[in-house]
Amino acid sequence: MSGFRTVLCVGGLVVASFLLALSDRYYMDVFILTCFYGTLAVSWNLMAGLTGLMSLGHALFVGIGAYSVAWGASAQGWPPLVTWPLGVAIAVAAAAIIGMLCFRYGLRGYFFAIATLAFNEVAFFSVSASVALGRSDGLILPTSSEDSLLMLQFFDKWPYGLIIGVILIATLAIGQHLLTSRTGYYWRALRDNEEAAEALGVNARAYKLRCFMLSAGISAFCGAFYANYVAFVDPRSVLGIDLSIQMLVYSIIGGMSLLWGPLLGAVLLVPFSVMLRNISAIQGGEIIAYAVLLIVLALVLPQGIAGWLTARWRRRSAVSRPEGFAAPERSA
Amino acid sequence: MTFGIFLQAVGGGLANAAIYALIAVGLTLVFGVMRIINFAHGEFLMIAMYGGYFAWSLLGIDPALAILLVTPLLALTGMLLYSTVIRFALKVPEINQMAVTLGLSLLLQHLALVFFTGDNMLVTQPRATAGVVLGPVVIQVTHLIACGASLLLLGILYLVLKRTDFGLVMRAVAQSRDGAALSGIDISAVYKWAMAVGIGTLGVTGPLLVSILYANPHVGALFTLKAFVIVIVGGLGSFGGVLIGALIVGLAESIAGAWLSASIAAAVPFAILILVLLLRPEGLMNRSLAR
Repeated sequence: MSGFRTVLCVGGLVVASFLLALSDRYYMDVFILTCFYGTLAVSWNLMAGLTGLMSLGHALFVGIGAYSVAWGASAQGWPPLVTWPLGVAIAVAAAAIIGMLCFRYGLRGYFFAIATLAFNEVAFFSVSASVALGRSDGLILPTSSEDSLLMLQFFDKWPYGLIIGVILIATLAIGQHLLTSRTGYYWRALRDNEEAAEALGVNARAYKLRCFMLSAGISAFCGAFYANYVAFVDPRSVLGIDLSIQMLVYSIIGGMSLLWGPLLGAVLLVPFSVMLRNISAIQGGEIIAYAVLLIVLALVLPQGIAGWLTARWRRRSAVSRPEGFAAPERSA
Repeated sequence: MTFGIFLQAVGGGLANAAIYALIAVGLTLVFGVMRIINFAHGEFLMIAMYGGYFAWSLLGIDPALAILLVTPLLALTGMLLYSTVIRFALKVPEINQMAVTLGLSLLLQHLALVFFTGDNMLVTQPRATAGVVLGPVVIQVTHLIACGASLLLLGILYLVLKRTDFGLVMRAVAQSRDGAALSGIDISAVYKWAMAVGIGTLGVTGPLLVSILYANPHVGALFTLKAFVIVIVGGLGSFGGVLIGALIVGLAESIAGAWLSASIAAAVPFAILILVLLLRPEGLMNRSLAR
C-alpha cells in the first residue's frame, strides 16, 4: 500500500466520520476532540516516532497557540486571521530556540525529554503568575450573540469540525509528503543511528531542528483552534503536562512507527474516554483504564496497534503471493 | 527583603534541601544501576505519605515511628514492582520505558483518588506548630525532625554503598552491567534490591513529610519533577551530586519564594535545570555512583 493511498484512505475515513457526526451535536463534539488530539499526537510523533526525539513539553506549543489567540482576542480584539499565524510563528520561533540550545549539546533520550519538560514548566508557572495572561484563572474569549466567520465564532459545532478535520488531513498530507522526501529519510536515519547518519553527511542538528519546528507549528495551530473552539484557556488545560502525556499515550498505543498510528490511538481512546466519563461512577475511571492499557501495550506490543496490524497484513499478503519477488512496499 | 527574612529563607531552604536530597537519592540510585528513569517515583512518595497519615489517624502511631512500618512495606513494593513491571520494561526501547513509568504514575494517582479521595490530609500534632529559634531564624520542629532523619539516612546509605559488599555489588553493576554479570553477580537480584532501596528510602521521607505538607493524590508529581531537577543538576547517578543539586534547588526555591511570588518560585528549579542542561549537561558533579 503506497503512502499516499494510505493518506487518502485515512482522509476518506475522516470525511465519512465528519458526515456521520453531522447528525448530532454530541457526536460532532466527540469528532472534534478526536481530531484535535489526533492531530496533536501525529505532530508529536513526527518527532518521537520518526526522528527519535521524545518531547515531554509539547503542551508548551499548544499553549503558545492558544494563548496568542486568547490574548489577542480579549486584550487587543485581534481576529484569528491575525492571531493564528502569530501563534504559529511564536511557537516555531520558540521551538527553534529550544532546539538550538538542546541540540547544540546533543541532548538525547531522557535528557531531551526532561529539558523540554523544564521549558514547559517554566512557561506554565510564568503564565500562572502573569496578570496580563489571566494568571491561573485563564482568559475568556469575548463572544457576541451573532455568529461571526471573521472571529471564528459559530453557534453550530460543524464549522469547527470542518476546520479541525481539514487541519488533520493537511497534517497527514504534509507528514506523508515529507516522509517520502529526502528529509523524511534523513529523519529516520537519525532515529535509527545518529552517529552513522552523521558520518554519511546528514546534518543532524539542522534536520532535527526542522522536525522540531514543524511539529511545534502544527501543535500551535491546534492550540489556536482549541482557544477558538472552547473560547476559554487556562494554564492547566493548554500548558499542563497532562496534555503532553496524552500525545505520548495515543502515539504509543496507536503505534509510533507509522504516520497514522497516533491517530489510530486517538480514535480508539478519545471516544472511549468520553464514553467512560459519562457512564462511570468512579471518578477518573477512564484514566485508570487507559493507564493500564498504556503499561501493558508499551510492554507487550512495542510497535503499537497500528504496527501490529500492518505487520500481520504484510505477513498475510506475503503468503498469498507465492512468487515472492513483489516485496511489500514500505509504507511510511 | 530584609536580612532577617533572607536568613529565614536560607534556613527553610536548607531544611527542604535535606528532604529533597533523600527523595532524589532513590531516583538516582535506580537510574545509576538500571539506567531507567522512574517517572512514578513521586507516586511512591505519595503512597508513603498516605501510609504515614493512616498509621497516625487509624492506629494512632506517631509518624516518626510509622517509618518502621512504612519503610519495609515500600521496599517490598519496590521489589514487587521490579518483578512485575520493570523487569519487562528493561527489554523495550527507551521511549516505551518512559511510557510504562508514566502510565504507572497516572495509574497510581488515579487509584489514590479512588481509594483516598482528593481531600488534603495532614498529620496535626502539637509539635507541628512548635518551632526552634536559632537567632533570627525559626524552624519548625517537624521540619527539623525530617531534616535530621534525611541526613542520617543519607549518611547510612553512603556508608552502605561505599563500605559493604552490598554496595560494592551495586557499584559494580552501575559501572558495567556485563562486567558484573561475567564476575558472577546476579544482575536481576541487584536490580531488585536497587528498586527496594530506591523506593524504600521514600518510606522514611513520606511519613515525616506528611506532618509538614498535606498529602493528596497529586502531591507526588511535584516531587518527581523536583527530584529530576536535582538529579540532573547534580549529575545523573552521582551521590554527591544529589546533595549539591538538592542544596541549590532548595535554597534557590526558598529565596525566590521570599523575594518574588510563589508561582515564580515554582518555576525557579526548572530555570536552573535549563541552565545546567545547557551549560553543563553532564551535571555539576560528573562523578557517577559507579566510582
